[in-house]
Amino acid sequence: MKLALIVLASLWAAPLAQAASQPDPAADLQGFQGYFLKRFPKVPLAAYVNGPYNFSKSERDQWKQIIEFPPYAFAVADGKTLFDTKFANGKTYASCFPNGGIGIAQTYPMFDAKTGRVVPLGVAINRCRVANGAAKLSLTTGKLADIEAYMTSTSDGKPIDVVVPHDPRALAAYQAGKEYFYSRRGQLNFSCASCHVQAAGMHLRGDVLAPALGLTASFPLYRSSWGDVGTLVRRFIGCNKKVKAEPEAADSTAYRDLAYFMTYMNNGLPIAGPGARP
Amino acid sequence: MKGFRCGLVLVGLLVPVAASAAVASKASAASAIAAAQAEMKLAASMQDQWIATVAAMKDARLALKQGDFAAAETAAVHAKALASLSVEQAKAQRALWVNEAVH
Amino acid sequence: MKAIAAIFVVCLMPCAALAATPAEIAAGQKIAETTTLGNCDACHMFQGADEAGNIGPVLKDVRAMVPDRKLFYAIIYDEEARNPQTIMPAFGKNQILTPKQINEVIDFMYTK
Repeated sequence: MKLALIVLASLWAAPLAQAASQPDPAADLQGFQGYFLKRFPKVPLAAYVNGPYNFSKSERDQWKQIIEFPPYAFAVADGKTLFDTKFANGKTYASCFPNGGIGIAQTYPMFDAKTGRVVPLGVAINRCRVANGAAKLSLTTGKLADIEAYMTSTSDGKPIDVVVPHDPRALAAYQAGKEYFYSRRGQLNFSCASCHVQAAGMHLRGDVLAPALGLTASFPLYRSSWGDVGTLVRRFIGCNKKVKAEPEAADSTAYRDLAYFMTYMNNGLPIAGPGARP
Repeated sequence: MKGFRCGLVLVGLLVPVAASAAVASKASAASAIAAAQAEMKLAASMQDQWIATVAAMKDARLALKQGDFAAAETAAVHAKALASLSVEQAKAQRALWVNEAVH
Repeated sequence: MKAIAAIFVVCLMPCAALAATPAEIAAGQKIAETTTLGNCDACHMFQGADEAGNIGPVLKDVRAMVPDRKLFYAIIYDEEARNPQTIMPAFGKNQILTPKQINEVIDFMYTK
């Protein structure tokens, strides 16, 4: 009798325990956005795409001056030229993307069922190049960042719409990105969340730490400290170095998954890229 | 080459006493570098290699090349210690990261 | 005789850890304000800091804040051991600073 009860109990409890450990992106999203909305009640959801400017008047004033002559305008123009330039085989980037690549940046990173991997926009651009006989470009800056800047500009204002399909590989990638985001690493022992959740909105020296909510929405972006336009991956590399950890490879699964998780957390917020930051 | 490396590891196993007595040899330095390298491989596999670890390893290799075996060994031992700290950190984080997650 | 007495007193002073020397305090300040070392002002405001952050508590009347030097050392060495939620780096445990450097930072902070 006792044994039967134990068996019954364990049968009943097992699916529950499993359910608790299953990734639940939709619930995470609600909790994540809710956390920031509750913590900073004066900042409306859509305003998070403006990152640090919600938290510092002096930075906001500087920004307003800067975007009168947006420093990323050249990147967008160069990116459009590159985007429209034919490959040796006569095709263009438009042939690789739905809707000719216009107004689709908000759907990236995208899970690719064929390879079982996450494909951020930069990787998709490189895939298009390789498929058309061209060499891969650097995923951090330069021509690829310019193309990304142009493509993102055609999605300006569209709500971010990253999908985690009911595919165990997609869920695993999402979960890996989440774990990377919250895991401390490097000699300084910081996680992404240490600065961009826990200390979000506070000052690290003179700089405001941007909340993770909205953070991906304005990439690629012009950073004054870079002096040019860079991608989200470039920022990942910079952050890893800042916590005194060796960065991952630009096209690593770790960074793809991290971008997947972070961008999913921004679902519903408007694309505001390319952006400008101090 | 493989046999040579094996030999170095063996020598390394036999001379830790000599090494700690600061009588570093080419073999003891090479063995310390090999030990550090193994720990660094583990750290990298856990996505947590520290920049200081890589720098210490670079110092160790440079000193070995320059024939300063004592400096090479000291730097390699330091690299291994740092790599071990990062491995320990990464292992702990596998359980601790959930505490940082917002829900 | 006087000279011997003076030597005796000088020798006793550091052992009793009564006061830090100006050199130790200056060394501590340098460590506290160097980004690759203590980088204390990245997160903590203290008098004289340039463009200090506000992530950690303001360091003012530090001797009253942390009168126990041993505890102060432990906080800089590995605050996570005491408070798992902290984001303060473990300067000692992770070998960012040497024990001597930590002590110099404490000497400097006790002047704040």
